[in-house]
Amino acid sequence: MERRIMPRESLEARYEQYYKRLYNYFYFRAGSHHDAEDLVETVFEKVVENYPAYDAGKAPFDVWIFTIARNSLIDFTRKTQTAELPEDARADSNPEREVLESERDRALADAVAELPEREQSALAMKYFARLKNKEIARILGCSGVNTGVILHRALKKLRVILTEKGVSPYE
Amino acid sequence: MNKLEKMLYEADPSANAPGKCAALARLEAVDIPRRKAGRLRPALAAACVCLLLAGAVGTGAAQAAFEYIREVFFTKEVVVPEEIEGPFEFISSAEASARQCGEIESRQVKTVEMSPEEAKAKFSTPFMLPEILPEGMYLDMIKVYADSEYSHDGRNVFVYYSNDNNKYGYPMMLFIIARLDWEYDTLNITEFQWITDEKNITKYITADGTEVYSFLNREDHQIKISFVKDNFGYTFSLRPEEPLTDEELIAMVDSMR
Repeated sequence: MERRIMPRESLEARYEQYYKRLYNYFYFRAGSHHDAEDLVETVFEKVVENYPAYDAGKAPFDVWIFTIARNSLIDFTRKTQTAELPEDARADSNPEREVLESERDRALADAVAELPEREQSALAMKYFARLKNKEIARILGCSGVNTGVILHRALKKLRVILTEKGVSPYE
Repeated sequence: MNKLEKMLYEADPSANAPGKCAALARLEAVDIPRRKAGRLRPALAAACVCLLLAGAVGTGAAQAAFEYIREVFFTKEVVVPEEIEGPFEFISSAEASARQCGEIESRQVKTVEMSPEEAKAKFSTPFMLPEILPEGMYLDMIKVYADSEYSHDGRNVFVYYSNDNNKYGYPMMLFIIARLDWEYDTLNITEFQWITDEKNITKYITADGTEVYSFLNREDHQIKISFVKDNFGYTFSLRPEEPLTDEELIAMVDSMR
């Protein structure tokens, strides 16, 4: 079988298409801009490396790339030894960027970090990576219904956490 | 969409990301085939860990319903699968109402004659029904109402659920009145409200003057979805494995808004 190589222009297009979703997914899981950038880069390296083995008939590209993203995050978490990053790792060291960064995004990131891993994962895939429940289910290895349950519980807890932090999640 | 979901969707830290272009440049500079040989990252191991961690969590009928409704209203042109092709009952909505309510004196019962070929031709047009029902949900019934009176403009959607084991101790029904935009496959919930009726008969008049008669099913916990397309009203009922709690039901509605 002929070995498929991902063309550069295709890589660039995919990068444009997925950068924001991957970045936001990683930011809310890893907690810093620096780590989010590194992880996005790692994912694209893996995408290019593994592209010859990608079978569109087995999984949509969305599912494939976010499976890679999730695995990269697990790898990253293992290396840093803790999923719960210290406060200073969450903050950006660049003061100018700190000013630019949305306070609400940070509050959300902190609140999301307090959820159990599985709920964090589902939430990040749903809202930051913009995946559908069915796609999340495939990545998490559970049913679409279970994904809905996880998300429902996660949102419920998130409301409580945000309220405690003084951010109103209500209308 | 509620405020929390809006907050989540709108969050965009990538707007402050410092190095998108630089990262792409670095990536493009990578000599992929040469690097690949020396880079056996533990992705496979991580995937195995994921699979081991991915245990089943409890199922919930609300989520099943939510999933189903999402599929129904956000899936484009799903064709009715062969295995649930019939038989279908073709009756007017007036007759349906009369049957359900045990005869309503003020309404004429009208049966619409239709050959199986005509019915099939109508029914085999692209129809928003998922090919696979979600886990924990059974398709109870499909009804196609000819000469439908559910809506004046053929674009309203009614989703309703009866719950006879709620905390109030009497039957309640949730009506969700929505407008379905066929062109864009979007569902905009315009109103919803709980209705209680001790007589088992509910006459509900929507904001646009549509009269809907319905019947509280005391035996089953069903979710019924009715809508009109091409002058035909479609109703299908789903029965969740377990009754929805009030909280689950409200969460489902919240999710749809």
